[in-house]
Amino acid sequence: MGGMHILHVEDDAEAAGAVAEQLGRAGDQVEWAATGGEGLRRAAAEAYDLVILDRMLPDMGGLEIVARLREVGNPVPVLMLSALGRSDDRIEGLDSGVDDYLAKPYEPAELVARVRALHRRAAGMAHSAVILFGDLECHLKARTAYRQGRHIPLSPKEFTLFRYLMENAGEVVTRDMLLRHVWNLNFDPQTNVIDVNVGRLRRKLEDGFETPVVETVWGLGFRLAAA
Amino acid sequence: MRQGPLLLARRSLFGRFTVAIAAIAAAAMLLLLLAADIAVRRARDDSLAQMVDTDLAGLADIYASGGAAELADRVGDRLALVPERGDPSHYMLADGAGRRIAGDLDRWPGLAAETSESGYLTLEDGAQVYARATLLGPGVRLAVAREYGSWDDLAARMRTALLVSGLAILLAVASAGLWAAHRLRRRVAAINQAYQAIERGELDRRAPGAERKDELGELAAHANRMLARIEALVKAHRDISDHVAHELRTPLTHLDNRLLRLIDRLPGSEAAPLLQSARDEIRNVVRMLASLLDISASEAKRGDARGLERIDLSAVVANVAELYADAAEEQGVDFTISIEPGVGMLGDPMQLSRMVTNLLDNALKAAPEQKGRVALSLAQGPRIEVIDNGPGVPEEMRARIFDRFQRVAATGGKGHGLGLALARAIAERHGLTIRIEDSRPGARFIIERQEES
Repeated sequence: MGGMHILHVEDDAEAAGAVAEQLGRAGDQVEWAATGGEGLRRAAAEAYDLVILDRMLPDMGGLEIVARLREVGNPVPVLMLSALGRSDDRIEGLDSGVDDYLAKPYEPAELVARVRALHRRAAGMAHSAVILFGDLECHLKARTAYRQGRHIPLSPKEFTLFRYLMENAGEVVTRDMLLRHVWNLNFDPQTNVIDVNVGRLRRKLEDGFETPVVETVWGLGFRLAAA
Repeated sequence: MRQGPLLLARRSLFGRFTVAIAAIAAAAMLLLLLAADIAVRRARDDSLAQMVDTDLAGLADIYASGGAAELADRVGDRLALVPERGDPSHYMLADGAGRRIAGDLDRWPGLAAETSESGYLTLEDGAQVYARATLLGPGVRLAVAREYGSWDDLAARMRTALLVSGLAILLAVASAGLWAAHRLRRRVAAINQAYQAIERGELDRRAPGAERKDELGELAAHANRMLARIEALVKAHRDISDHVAHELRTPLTHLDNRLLRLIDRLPGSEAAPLLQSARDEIRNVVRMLASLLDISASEAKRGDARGLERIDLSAVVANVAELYADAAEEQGVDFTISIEPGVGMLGDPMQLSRMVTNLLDNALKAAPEQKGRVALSLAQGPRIEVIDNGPGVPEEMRARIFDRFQRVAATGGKGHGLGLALARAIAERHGLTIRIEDSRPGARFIIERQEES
């Protein structure tokens, strides 16, 4: 799903270069705006797939840019990439209309994963009643899971986790993304709780089947892989 | 806040002041009353003794010049002349056996004539008198008595006058005191109200009355200057935190990006793991920085109810408990969860989640590998307890483990030593206290509502 058209508003040239390189390698095309004013003008004038905003810009802060865009009804997905990475900062950002918030320094693969997930959500790929992927089925209304037509009993939290993986099937979801979307937490517990929880779901999805479906992406997160 | 006068007297400085002033006034009045009474009594004694003695001396002269018959006549004269004002006198001229020769007394008063005895007596008809007796000649004695009711009237009138004026003074003192107390209390209450608002986080509030030149005005002015300073500091703190975060994170991000590019250019190199561990170290620095800023931010917002919402703490704690349940099981730890449903409070759900997370992290690290036990409970209050059966924390360490960078030996010194400090900062930001007790073996962390001071 590469080839996204992305606007990056960032006053620091080196940081902008790194983002362009990292997303470029994933197949996206990144345009750079060095000031908030220019960023706002271009975001409003052109149809980008996604806008990445720095928060602290000398002329116009990222939060203000989002507010102005939302004011005129511009629905473009916005990822805030900021040096202000405290829990409060994230909440403030998300409350003001930003779709996702990533703190610097970040893992490039995490950035790519977040960009993909945002784009997918905006493109409405996850808006059907049933999500199918390989031999997996996720019934959103009934909150049930099937593999090869066999019902897999899941706890409510396990289902939420399964659903989020299915919505992003084939793509990497990071631990931070799971914490935020499944457990509604925006900080990083120091222990491996996410791995353990994914591990339990993995056993339910894989025990008694030939092929694995949940892949661990080392140092980053997990991916549902087609069986 | 309305207070009854009794409560005011006990609780208010000014109330106590007023009561003390009134008590002093009352005591002074009683003393005055007593002194006046003694003075009147003395004057009466002197006056009675003088009058009775003069009378007696005059009658003795008459006896000396005219004999007993003349004296009896004169006594009759004196008795006939009843004074319109003043106290009546009584006489008795008696023979050696005490039989009356003249006078209006029926019986000889119990006074020794030989020694010219004098004293206060009660006559048979009940009249109170001062009397003196004397021996005029062989077989002739004379007693002169004088009533002193007018003196008693005088004393009573004076007491009444003193009592009435004293009560008036007392009333005046008490009401002046109460008025002053009320005024002072209102001014101090206004200042206190401003402080309460500041405690709630309205940092721009100031104590009123600072423009006055008296002591309270001075106090308010001092306090206001300090408050302005605090407000500026809090504002500066936020700005500095943002700047520190930005100014440090940006170069760290550059550093990280460059390390990453190096790793990309040296595929399979021996340097790669070292470079990766350098990147991990950058992550640690950033995380520590974020935690420190979080702690300061929570401390700065201590007691500030703004930004808090009514939340279902049971749901928040259950969410975290669920996240940790599998991890505990995997670790072979027996994890008991006991959450009373419907525990509500004013809070920031993310921060409170983090507080519980840090305690659970800590407990799971402390729990022994064999037969480890961790218990999490939430009860109304709210009261949160996290118990582990690890080695516990020695008594002398307990006060310090909530300080920054105090690694708990029980957890093997893992972590950056900020988890418990952050837990405390979050607890206190929500008006909760956190403490650690011995759970024999292991540690018991208790978070509960701060006692209202």
